[in-house]
Amino acid sequence: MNGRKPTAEGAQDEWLDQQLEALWSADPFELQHTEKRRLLVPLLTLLDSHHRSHCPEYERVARLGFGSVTDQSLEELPFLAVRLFKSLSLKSVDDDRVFKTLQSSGTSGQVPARVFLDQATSKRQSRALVKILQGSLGRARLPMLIIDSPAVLRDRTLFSARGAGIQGLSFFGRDHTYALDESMSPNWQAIDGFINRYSDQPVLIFGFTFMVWVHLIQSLESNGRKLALPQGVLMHSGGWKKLEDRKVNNSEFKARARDALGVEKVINFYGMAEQVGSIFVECDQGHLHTPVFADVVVRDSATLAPLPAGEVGLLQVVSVLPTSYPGHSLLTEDLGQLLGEDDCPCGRKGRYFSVLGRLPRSEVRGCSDTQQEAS
Amino acid sequence: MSVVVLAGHDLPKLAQQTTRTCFDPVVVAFCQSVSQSLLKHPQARQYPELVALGFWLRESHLRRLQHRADVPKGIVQLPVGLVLHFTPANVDTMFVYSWVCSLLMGNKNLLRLSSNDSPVKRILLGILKDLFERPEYEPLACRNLFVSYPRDSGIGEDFSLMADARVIWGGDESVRAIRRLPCKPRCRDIPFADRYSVSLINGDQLTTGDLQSVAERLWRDIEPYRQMACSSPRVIFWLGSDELQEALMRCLDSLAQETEVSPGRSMDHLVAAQWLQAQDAAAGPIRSGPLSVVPVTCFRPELLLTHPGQSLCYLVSIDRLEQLEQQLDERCQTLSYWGVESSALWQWLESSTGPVMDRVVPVGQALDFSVVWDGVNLLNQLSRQVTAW
Repeated sequence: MNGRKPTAEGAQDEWLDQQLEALWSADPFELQHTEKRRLLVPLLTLLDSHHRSHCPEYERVARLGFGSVTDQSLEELPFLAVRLFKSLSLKSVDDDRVFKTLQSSGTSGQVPARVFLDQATSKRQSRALVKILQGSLGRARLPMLIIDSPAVLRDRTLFSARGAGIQGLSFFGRDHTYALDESMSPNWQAIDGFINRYSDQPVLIFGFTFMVWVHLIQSLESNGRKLALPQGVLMHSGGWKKLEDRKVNNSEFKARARDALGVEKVINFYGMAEQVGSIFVECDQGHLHTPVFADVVVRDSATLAPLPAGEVGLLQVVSVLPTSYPGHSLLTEDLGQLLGEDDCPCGRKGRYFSVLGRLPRSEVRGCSDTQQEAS
Repeated sequence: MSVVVLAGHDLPKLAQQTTRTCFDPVVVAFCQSVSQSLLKHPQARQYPELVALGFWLRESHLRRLQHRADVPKGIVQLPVGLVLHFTPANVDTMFVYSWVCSLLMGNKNLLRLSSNDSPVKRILLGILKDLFERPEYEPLACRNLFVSYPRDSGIGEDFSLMADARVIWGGDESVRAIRRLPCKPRCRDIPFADRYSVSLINGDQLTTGDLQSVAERLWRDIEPYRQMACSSPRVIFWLGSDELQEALMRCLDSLAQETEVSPGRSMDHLVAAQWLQAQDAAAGPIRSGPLSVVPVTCFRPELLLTHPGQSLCYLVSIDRLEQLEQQLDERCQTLSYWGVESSALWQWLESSTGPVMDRVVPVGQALDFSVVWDGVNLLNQLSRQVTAW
């Protein structure tokens, strides 16, 4: 790697951005693993030491749990349990540089996670999103139908993860049309207007998996209606937990979405509020792909040791984007498996994987709960 | 919104019944039958808390309780009337103890069970239902009603107004909410709110010959209820030499190997450990495996907020007993000890000016239920002491 690692504070951001240039200029899915590791590992090592020197909480967890900084491999990088973002304020910048605080909606009744963004991190996130999605959506801005209510973007200072997702994707669209009203029912007038204007051209439809299912697909089905957007692409994300409970899997979702919305393609992606920007998009094979800015490690859910391809474990996601909060390496509570590296039939390079649902939460609570159970 | 009867007859029947005498022979026989059913039950063996309950309910043990409860001359012990029990969601056998205390005192009982399902609860309710169907236990089937109902349905209010005493198991918030329900002016509340428990091991007394037996006793306290009962020790205070500390943890770890583990346990332990480390409350390295041990530099009760149970121990080193006082508060329920002279402990407790726990018992007996619980004598509280001469 060229360029010396600076020690002076503040210069690190700049150095990181310089090194990132190599990643920005590459096709996000073109680097084979040796080349990708050669670029990624030094950047992640740099982020590790950046967060150690700017976030005392991260420093302690890294030192006590993982030892000193190493730059050997992805697998040796310290990781934070993603749940910590709910109970702690984790940031690597001064308060006055935080210009946006992302708040994950979380499961109902739970404390939301908080993610602190500065300008530099936020900019990197948007840029990465563009690089990753250009392959699927092209360069032109498409007419965009958002399967959500406009109310979700109202409070601009406290960003919900839903709002952030919509904002991020909105960059690829124009004539942003909200398909749901404030009560989350279909706004048929808006939807019909959109179809009248754009049924004969490529359009982008975006929403969170569960909302698309409940508020659009099921509404259409129960009303005996079908939309026709033959050149449309539906992008959706947000996890399968609630749909699993209703026994709806990805292929069922795809088939019913295609049928109800009359779209050409349905593309799922995996990402989280704690790592906005580095998302993992599904290919035609249904595999989720790691872009050049990010990677995944699958860890045994009992021992937390890295697992080889084919074995199911916890997903650890790494990303070179976050400098304002220690989110470059996170152990999620999602279960998944590595499917392979560099050899997906779709042609994309890098690791590819699948998500298989959430780690079951233990129900233990103790003497302490006469009432809090669901009733 | 309705009441679901889980065991027993129905509300009108319950209301019609009279109370019975204390230590009524039918009640004692019934407890003995529950004990036999539990100890014979093919699945009960997997749950140490059920086996312990089975032993506790044996007639010989109850007779000893009666003997000890012998009331002074000039006092007659009589039931209070109808006792309403709010039971905890996940520690399924605790409420049985307080219920049986109430039963022994001759009371009628109405018990609200949570809607959560668990194998332990299923086994218990199955046994009770079977026994209630036997003709000899008909009087008990009429006088004890196990129900569930949705909270915020107004049913809690109605029940509360009928009660002469309320036994309330729950977290601080739940206990507060339940105590706000309207009740008779002379209704007694026996609340069991959030508590935590700790162990004390004297490293100076520990020899390699002791390791296995100390580990087994500690494990007897840690394992039941997946370490989530109020009395389950979650903190081990280590007094004196730490020479055999690691060896003891290894012994504990191999005992822990045999238990069934929930899939989220390692994640829960990681979250707890990282949360402590991030706040500078824990030191490394951390032992993680079937038993996780996090060395905590200075304990404070708030550090238990994220404690997920399932065999995770905070390990705190101290040099003097007095250091316990600074780190514990009034929420500490049980201190179980090993290798400390009980006389030294009593001396310390008596001279202590700070808050003192409600139970001090040898390691291995932390979960043994006694009729004096959380500082309250349940047999006395669930009866009236009538003076008569």
